[in-house]
Amino acid sequence: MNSINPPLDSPGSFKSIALDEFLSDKKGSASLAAIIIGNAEGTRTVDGGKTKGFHGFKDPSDGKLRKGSFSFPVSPLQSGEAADRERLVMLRGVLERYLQATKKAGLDPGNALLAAAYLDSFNQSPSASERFLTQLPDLKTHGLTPGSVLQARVSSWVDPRTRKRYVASSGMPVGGGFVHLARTRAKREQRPYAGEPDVLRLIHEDQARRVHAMVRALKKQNLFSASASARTDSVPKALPAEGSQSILGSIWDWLWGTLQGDFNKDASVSQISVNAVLGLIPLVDQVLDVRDILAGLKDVIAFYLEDEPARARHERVLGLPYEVWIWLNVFIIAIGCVPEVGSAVKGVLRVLLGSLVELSKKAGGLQPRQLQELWAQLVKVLGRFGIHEARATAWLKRLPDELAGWMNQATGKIRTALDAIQNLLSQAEDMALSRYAEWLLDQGKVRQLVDGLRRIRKAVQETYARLDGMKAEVNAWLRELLGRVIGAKPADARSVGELSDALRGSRTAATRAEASYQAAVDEFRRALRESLHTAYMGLEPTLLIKMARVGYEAARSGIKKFDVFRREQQLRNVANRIDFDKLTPHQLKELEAAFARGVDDEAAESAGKSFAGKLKEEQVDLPGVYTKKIKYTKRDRKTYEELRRQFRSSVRAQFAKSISKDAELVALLRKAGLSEDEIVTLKNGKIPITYQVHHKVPLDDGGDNAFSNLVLIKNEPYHKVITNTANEMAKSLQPGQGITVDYPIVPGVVYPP
Amino acid sequence: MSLIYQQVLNQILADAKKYGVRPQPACSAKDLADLQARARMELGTDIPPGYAEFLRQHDGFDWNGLLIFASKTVPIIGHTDKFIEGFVDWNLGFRSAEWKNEFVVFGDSGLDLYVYEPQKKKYSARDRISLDEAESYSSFEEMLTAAFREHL
Repeated sequence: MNSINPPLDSPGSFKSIALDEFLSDKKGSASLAAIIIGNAEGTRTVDGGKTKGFHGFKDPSDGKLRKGSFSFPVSPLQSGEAADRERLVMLRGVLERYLQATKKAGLDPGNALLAAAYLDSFNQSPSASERFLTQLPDLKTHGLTPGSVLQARVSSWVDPRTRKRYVASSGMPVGGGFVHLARTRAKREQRPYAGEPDVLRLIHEDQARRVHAMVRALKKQNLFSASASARTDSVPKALPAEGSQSILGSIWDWLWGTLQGDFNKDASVSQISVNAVLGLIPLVDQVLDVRDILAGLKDVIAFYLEDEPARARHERVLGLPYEVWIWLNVFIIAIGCVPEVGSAVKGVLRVLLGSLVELSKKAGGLQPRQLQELWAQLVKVLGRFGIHEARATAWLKRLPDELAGWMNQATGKIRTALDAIQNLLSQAEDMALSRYAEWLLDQGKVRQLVDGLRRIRKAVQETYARLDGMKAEVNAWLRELLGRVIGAKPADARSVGELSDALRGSRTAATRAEASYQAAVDEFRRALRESLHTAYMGLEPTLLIKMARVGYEAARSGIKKFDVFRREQQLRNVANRIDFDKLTPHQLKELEAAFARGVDDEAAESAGKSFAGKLKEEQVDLPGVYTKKIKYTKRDRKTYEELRRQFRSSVRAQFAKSISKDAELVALLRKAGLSEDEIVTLKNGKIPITYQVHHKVPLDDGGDNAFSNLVLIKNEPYHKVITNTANEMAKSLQPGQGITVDYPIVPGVVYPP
Repeated sequence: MSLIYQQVLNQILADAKKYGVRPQPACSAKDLADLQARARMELGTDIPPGYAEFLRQHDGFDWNGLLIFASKTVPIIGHTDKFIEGFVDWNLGFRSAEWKNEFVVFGDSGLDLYVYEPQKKKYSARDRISLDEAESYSSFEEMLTAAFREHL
């Protein structure tokens, strides 16, 4: 976007004009109407000059010869000036209709912007100008600004409620000329013609270009009074703040309004920067199938839009972290969308969870009688779906085993819903980066709009990334819940307090390990995808920490070699695999080293290893720290100095920021006892008191500044004990000299964990 | 008295304040006298005047990975469970082997120890693992200034 136009709306008001004078046929081409509308047509310049088009051109949509300011169809012998006089007389003839409509709407008919917008609309299409007049009450409500006029102009072609073009009495959609132009444009841009979305976009762009051109000309012709505080009588009472947060909020409203099929015309979201640019993107078809799921996903995506402290503030529900709880709701909704028995399963789960939530508010737990009532309720729910009491018990008993199947189908539905959101956001981003947005907004607003869309898109990507992990988590929890409630004979259960406690108990170790492994892989995959998207020349440093986590979790699931892990990932579903092929050999080597660090950490942990160092002649145990046989080779001083310089100047701060911006890593920091203030300190690239950053393998040897080689370590006594041990190993070596040692390696991202 | 590190110290303290970290209070005359006595007796060294001068302003420093030891182990201001170790105790803990006795350490960071070698009358920053000299300084104040600059 090299040539950005000034923003459409600016403080001030358009002057009131005498319409007779404005449309003076005596002045002909010198009349203000000819100059202003001629700018929309491209036949006049802002200062009243004439372009080549004024003197005649062939309209590509109908092949007719047109001349004059209004691009009026003429015979070859007629001049542009004569065409203008003729057209002005015609335009004066439609004034009556305009005057009536403005009076009815309570608007000033002499408002230069409004008059120009109407007359230009008539000049472009008399039928569209009729529909423009029906928008006047909305203009009165929302304020008469170039942005709102533009929306009214677009709405004279496209029905805002259906986001489809109006249908003419012939049965054909209006604006057939746009179809021809959209096809021609797609061909010129060497891309397939997308049909209606291309037509709608062209209508947006055409109307924006015209309104923008008229506003520019009106200003040049002194028909605009600039003023910081000036407002027309119909400016909305409460214009929303223009900050990026406000824009994000408006995008959020637009997104869900669109997905839920509501065209929200409320002033608070009719902000030019969002609705005027994105407001009429057509609804994606697959949304209709998954609209219920979207409602649940809204909470999940909102959660991933939050920063770490906000996420941490959510309370657990039924012993589940809030994140899992909102996913549980989405899965239940999605199970309900599975044909045939989905609704029955959803009904049972809803009753079950509803009862448990209710009971968790009461002290003392559930008595056997209440459990019997719960059981009866479940049977009753099934009755509503035609599963009668005689079969209900057997049906319920089968449910835990069949749950995995429902969950898989539900996952597919959720993925479809996410695809729909992603699709809509992609279209919105295209629109925000199009010339249309450029016409409408200044560069800062476009940036805010795109940034807002990308923030939401990032949250959607996080939602995608968490889907499989959450499926495993929710499945395990629900299965255990069903197993215990349905498996228990009512008379056996002493209380729901006891039952609820049991439900919160641990799942099988195998399920947990697999879920953690999958979650770590998903986290890595997401981070890798983002890293590749940002066209970063090297690997995003945080990726190496994530790969070390993957290595750790993979080792817990029995995969300890990087090439085995790589093959395993490549064998998985093609769409979900990590695309190692896109990485350079160097990047792969970095990942392999990080993976190996994770595997080493896990091996040390499994073996219950603990390193004992010395401090003041006393033995100090460092649990989890393990020794690794390495050839400690003192590196050349030039590289060493450069690595030190990098660490001091940027790496230390980047590492601090990196570990504090990632949800997974922040959870580890909290677990290690860092306070929220300390996490904020890290987020700002600073190291909190009592901590330092330690190189697991020292720079003096072959260690580097890769984030997987760094750990935030408590000074006292840990860092000191490690240093004392290492001093003995590294002393008196000359560059290039080496010695094999059992070097103490501090695992993880933060120590002690 | 105007100290060469004062400006950078003020800057670093102002930054730390944004995160709720307050400067340590001054060391008392008694604690300083005790420190002198213990350093002589247990480490066999006098403390340099520059270090004493710093302690008279702030009894220890801990921020952004840089630690300057206190006259004795003292709580970090605003905390009851976080401490800055005392100079003598830290050095006694560091002297895990005879050959390390030639160094007197005043503070440390993720990469370096800030040391004085009484026999050579030399101040330097040394790699905390290899103890190789990374930078040398003509005075304690100069060493402290460099340490603060690297942790702004």
